Amino acid sequence: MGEKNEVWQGTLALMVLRTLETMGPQHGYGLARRIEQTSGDKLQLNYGTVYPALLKLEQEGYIRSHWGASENNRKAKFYELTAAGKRRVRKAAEEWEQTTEIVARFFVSAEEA
Amino acid sequence: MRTLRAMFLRLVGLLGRGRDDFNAELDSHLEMHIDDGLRAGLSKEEARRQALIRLGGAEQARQSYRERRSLPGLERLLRDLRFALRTLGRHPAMTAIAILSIGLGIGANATIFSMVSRFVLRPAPVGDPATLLSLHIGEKDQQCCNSFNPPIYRDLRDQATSFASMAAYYEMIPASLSGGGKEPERAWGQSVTTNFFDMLELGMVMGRGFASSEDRAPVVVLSERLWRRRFHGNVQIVGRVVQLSGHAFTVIGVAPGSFHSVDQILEIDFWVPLGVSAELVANLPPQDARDWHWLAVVGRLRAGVTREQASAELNTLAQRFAAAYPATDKDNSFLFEQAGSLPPRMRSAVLLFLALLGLVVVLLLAIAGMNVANLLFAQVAGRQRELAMHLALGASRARLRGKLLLESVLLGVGGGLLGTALSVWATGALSSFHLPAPMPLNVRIGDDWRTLLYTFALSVIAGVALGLGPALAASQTVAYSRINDS
Repeated sequence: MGEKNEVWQGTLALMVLRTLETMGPQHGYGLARRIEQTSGDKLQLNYGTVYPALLKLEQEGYIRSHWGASENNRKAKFYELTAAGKRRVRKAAEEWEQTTEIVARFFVSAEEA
Repeated sequence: MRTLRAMFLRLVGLLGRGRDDFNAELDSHLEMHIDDGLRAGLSKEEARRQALIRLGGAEQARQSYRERRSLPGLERLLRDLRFALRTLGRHPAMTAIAILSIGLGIGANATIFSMVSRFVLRPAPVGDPATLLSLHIGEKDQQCCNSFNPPIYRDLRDQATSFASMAAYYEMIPASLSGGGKEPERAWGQSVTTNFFDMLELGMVMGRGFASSEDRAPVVVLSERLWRRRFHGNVQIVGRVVQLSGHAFTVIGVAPGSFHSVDQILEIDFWVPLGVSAELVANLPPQDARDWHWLAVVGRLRAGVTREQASAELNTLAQRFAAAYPATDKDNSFLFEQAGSLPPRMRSAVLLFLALLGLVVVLLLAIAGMNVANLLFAQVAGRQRELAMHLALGASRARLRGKLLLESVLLGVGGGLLGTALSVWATGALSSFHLPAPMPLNVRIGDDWRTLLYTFALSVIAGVALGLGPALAASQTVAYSRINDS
């Protein structure tokens, strides 16, 4: 893999949900920047892909949106988690832990063997 | 659940709201990104350029957002449909002629098919029609098939273990019916063994069927048609006395109107127990003769028994009877078919007749289809410029074929609608035609779901078939240079 990693579908949705959980309501641009920051700038998003992902999450009822004013007083659309979204993040975190734990066992044993 | 919800919202998205909302969101995104760029010391143009690059292009973003917002496949289909309708509307004369010819062809097919459906496919309106079988006696070197008589019926009923139960009936009894304060009228009935209605699993509209003790009782079950016609649907009919050919019978039940008779062709208006047949039939055949054939028999297959097993057992029984009664049963065999299908005596003739008619109407439809296909060919030749324009604007040849095919399918479906209307009219006319038969026959042909399904499938197939040639030809021969033609 290169220096800047691609973000694949599905993972982006989870990152968006998790970021919304830690930051609270946020607009699309802020979300994208924050995700890049959190990755230690290892990820470079194509910002255009963030909005369809947000729309999908909204259609599925995990987030909702409303128009508000940004920190620089720009008009912006803010997204926030719904109750279902919060549950989804918690569930995803558990699943992620389990998955990494399982996969990790394989790699550890492979090195030992 | 979530997927369903998203699906629903995307369907709503088809209606086209929320497009401006995303443009505003995209603008605000770019402004914020440019602000950041300016703060980092870039020039305004460079900041804007960077922002657009990182967005991956505003138009691409809009495109993928649009695709997520609604259902692009469905959206495209709707657009093509609108386009096809507009195109057809531009040539009203050609469209009308095409729909009329296909409509006539499909109408004829639907009418014949509704006859097939009525006489060949439709099961009798009884409980589980698949296990209800009509039995016949086959005689060596004789045309199929013969009826039963009480001794053979009783032997078969008592010994055949493949059948849960069997019933016998005398098929046609004319009687003069009086009662209900009207002139006497001629009515046709059947005399049946007392388990007849129980075995058919036919629920009564009112009252009950025969009890096993009533084989010789003067009781009668009326058809719902007779009850409504003659007794005005009087709810107190049960217990009343009617006169059948001068004998008093007490009404005990009313059978549902959907049931005409086991064979579905005879129109039967009353049923009496088999034991009283002699009162209504002057020259009833002798009760205990094995060589008279006058009783019809139906049987209900036992659960889990296949028709092959039943057939094998009936063969064994036929041999046993032949050995026991060589004088009368020597050449007998037993045959059966699903009750309510065509009587075996006329079956092959009717099937041949319907098959020939079917062939004729299919040919008719083929000729109509050919004519319309020719029209379409001519029309496509005149549309080269338009089609070339589509290609020049980026439509693929496959897409072009799809558009043309959609037009012809629309013609086919339009023809199908017209054909259905024609066939409803035709079956109505056929049904009101009285056959010159001495007894009442039920030959009413209705449009049922089988006919509708058949008509719809046929119209789509016709549409595709007649459009395929022109569509292929059109998409292959169109040349870009045609745009310049005028």
